[in-house]
Amino acid sequence: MSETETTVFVVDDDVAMRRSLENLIRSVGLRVEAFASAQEFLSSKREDVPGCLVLDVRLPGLSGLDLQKRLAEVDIEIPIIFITGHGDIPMTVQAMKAGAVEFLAKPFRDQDLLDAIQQALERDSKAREQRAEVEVLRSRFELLTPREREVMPLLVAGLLNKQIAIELGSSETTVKIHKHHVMEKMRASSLAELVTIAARIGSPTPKS
Amino acid sequence: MKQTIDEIRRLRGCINDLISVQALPAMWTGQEPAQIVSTLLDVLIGMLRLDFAYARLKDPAGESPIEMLRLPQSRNLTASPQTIGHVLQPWLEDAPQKWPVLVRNPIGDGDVSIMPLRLGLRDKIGVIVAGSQRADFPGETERLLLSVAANQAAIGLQEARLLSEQKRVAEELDQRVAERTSELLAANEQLEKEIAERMQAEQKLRRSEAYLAEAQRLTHTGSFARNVAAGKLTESSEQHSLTHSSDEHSRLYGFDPERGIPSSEEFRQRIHPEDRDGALEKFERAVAERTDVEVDFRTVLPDGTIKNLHAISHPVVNTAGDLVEYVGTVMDVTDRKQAEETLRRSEAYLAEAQRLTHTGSWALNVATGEPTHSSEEHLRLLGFDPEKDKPSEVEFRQRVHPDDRESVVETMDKAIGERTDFEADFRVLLPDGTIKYLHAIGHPVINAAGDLVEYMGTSWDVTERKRTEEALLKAQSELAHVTRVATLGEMTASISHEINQPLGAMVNNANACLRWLAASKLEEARQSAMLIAADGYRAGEIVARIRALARKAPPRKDWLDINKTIQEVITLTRSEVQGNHVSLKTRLGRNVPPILGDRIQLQQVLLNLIMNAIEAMRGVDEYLPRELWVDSEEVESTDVLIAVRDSGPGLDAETLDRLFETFYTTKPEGLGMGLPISRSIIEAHGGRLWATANASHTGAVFQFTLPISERAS
Repeated sequence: MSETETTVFVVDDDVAMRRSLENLIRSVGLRVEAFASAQEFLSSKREDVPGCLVLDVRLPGLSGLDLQKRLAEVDIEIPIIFITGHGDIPMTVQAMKAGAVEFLAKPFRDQDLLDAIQQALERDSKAREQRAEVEVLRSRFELLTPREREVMPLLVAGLLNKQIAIELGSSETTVKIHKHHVMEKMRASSLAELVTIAARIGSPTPKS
Repeated sequence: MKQTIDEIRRLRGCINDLISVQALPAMWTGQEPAQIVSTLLDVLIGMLRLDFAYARLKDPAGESPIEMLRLPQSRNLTASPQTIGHVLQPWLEDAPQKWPVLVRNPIGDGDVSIMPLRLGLRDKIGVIVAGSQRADFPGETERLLLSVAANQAAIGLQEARLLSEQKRVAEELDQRVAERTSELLAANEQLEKEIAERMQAEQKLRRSEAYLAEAQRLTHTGSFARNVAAGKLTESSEQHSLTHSSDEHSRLYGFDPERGIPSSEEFRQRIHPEDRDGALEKFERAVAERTDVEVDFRTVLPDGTIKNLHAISHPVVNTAGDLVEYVGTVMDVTDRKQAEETLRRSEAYLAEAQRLTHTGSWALNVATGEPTHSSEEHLRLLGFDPEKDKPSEVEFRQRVHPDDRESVVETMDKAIGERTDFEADFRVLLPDGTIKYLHAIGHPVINAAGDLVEYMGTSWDVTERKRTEEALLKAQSELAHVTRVATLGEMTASISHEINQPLGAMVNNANACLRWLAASKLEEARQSAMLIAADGYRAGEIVARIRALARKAPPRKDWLDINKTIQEVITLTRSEVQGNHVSLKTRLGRNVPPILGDRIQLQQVLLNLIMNAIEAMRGVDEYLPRELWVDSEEVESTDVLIAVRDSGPGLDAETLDRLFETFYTTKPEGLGMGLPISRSIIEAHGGRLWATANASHTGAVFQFTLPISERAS
């Protein structure tokens, strides 16, 4: 990943704090985009670049925690580093449970923030890689016929061909052909591998 | 024969003459003696052919005698009776000589024979003298005739005289009767007049007595007279018995006036036992000294009524200098006594009330400028002794504190000039150095003619109140400080956040600066250093504001821009606003005039209202807007209106009612002091603070006004 692409987003309503964060992050050679409120961040047109979010907990309107929730709701996965003037333990726990990278109390040591940013960026790039792999698996899954999509969860669930034939009201031979196509299309060398793929793409589980 | 015939004729003639003479008295009846004599003389001269007939009649009253003379008419002779009288004088004296027969003829030549005829015993009546030149005179028949005539005349004259006497007596009697009658008439008239006058006087007297009785009855005043024998005071009470007791006097003692004057003992018994001896002793002492005396005493009537009487008595001394009696009046003064008592009591109540409330009353004569009334408490308020001092207006005014004197005098004089009420607050400085605060009000008293007569008013001591007010003000100020500190305490978290922000920024910028320096990025390093400086200033400002709020400073008034004050408070509350996800908007009026006020106090009010608004919106659902507006505007160029609105749940009726009550709070941690203190601060600034429901939104509006002061140039 190139440095120009990677961006650290900062949301803090306090202009001095916001400016100092920008200054600090820029001084380590990272690109920074700063926002005064959660709404401003949400409505901005951001490039889908690797990055992380330095987020103040207390904000006018939508709070930092609200923003975290909102981002999760719309499947925007961006590592978040919370900063707060007076963080308490319940708030910290809530933030961390929701996947925050770090929770820093102001004033914090610059290195702690920069380390957290670094960690977050790594986590983001890793996540991005994983997301890319799943995308590939999903596109393979898209190639399956409807019948094959029915057969796959039953295979993953560990049913025998005979059982699958009964389940689908089909013949054992036909099931065997479907199984072969699924393994081929999903590029699974073994049933175990197919199970792993299914888990990653989150394919539907068979109806009980 | 012839002789005989002549003689018969002569005799016959003589008889006729005699009959004529005899008849004379019948003619004379009722005649005067002079007339009788006159006819007699006429008869004699004719009958006897006399040369003269003279009569001299004595006046019974002793006057000069009446003389008469008759002469024969044929001879034309004239002579006065006095001539004959003179000739006959010697025989007419008191002791007459013997009558001669012949006398010289007084009326002719020769001698005449005369014959005197005496009338009555010793010529008592008078004498008649007949004279004739005839020598034979008087013949025998002539003598008879003359003597019969004289007798007849004497009888006639006697009768006439008697008659005349009788007549005179009768006349006299008549006259005396008349005189007496007229005297009696006059006397009668006088008497009638006197009677009339007396009746009138009596009527007058009766009327005046009636008036007096009426007057006595109406005024409850009785009169009495008391018989006192000097030097016998110790004798029986009858010595001092009442000789007069007017009806009302008797009634005052409860006696029926119709029954006459009661005895002294009866009167004595009606005097109240407690007063009896004292009153009587006082009276007797006065009697001994013969002086006027006034006695006050009570009477007890049979029905139990008690009357207060006031008696005045006065000694009456006769010309010999002896004391005769005491007269006097007794007046029923029960009503007056009661009125006096009531008045005395109500005056006492008033004085007591004035004393207890430290309120004095006074009145001032506008014309003379001198006080006409000054209650005891008023004197005491100004440090005078009510027992001794009678200060003049100048002395009163001298007690006013020198710093206040001019304005008080000016206020009073202005009110007097304009006939208006006045009120004044001032201090008095007493001689011992004590200072009192007085509040005085006065109003003009105008008579029916519309003239200003006097000013009356009251002054009361408000020193205690002033001190209480000052103490209250101090307590309020302390309380305000406490709540301010408490508010700051509540805000500690946000305040530390507020300070942490610039501090954190400074740290970040300093670290950034170091990194820029390490990378030799000097421009960036310089920028970072500038940011550090700016953040440092900001932190300093915040600390200063907090210190100002926490400071315990006495109220002071400065000209201030209310919009700036609002901004300062908003800065302080910013983190609280943000922490609660509140959106704060301001709509501050342009060119809002500066107002005179205490910056810290007004900040406290704004802080209070904003914090309350935030607090109110804390429970609002997250998806609903939490909005806070702070507005300012000029209203009718007299006031500045500041409004703090929120979009919270608003105020219910009960809360609205009790909002400004001390210790009323809807917050679990609240003191219930914020709004009452805010209101007292605003009111101390001459403004108003009130709450209403927010009309266009949910939520509440708190508004306050501050008067725009004329800026003193």
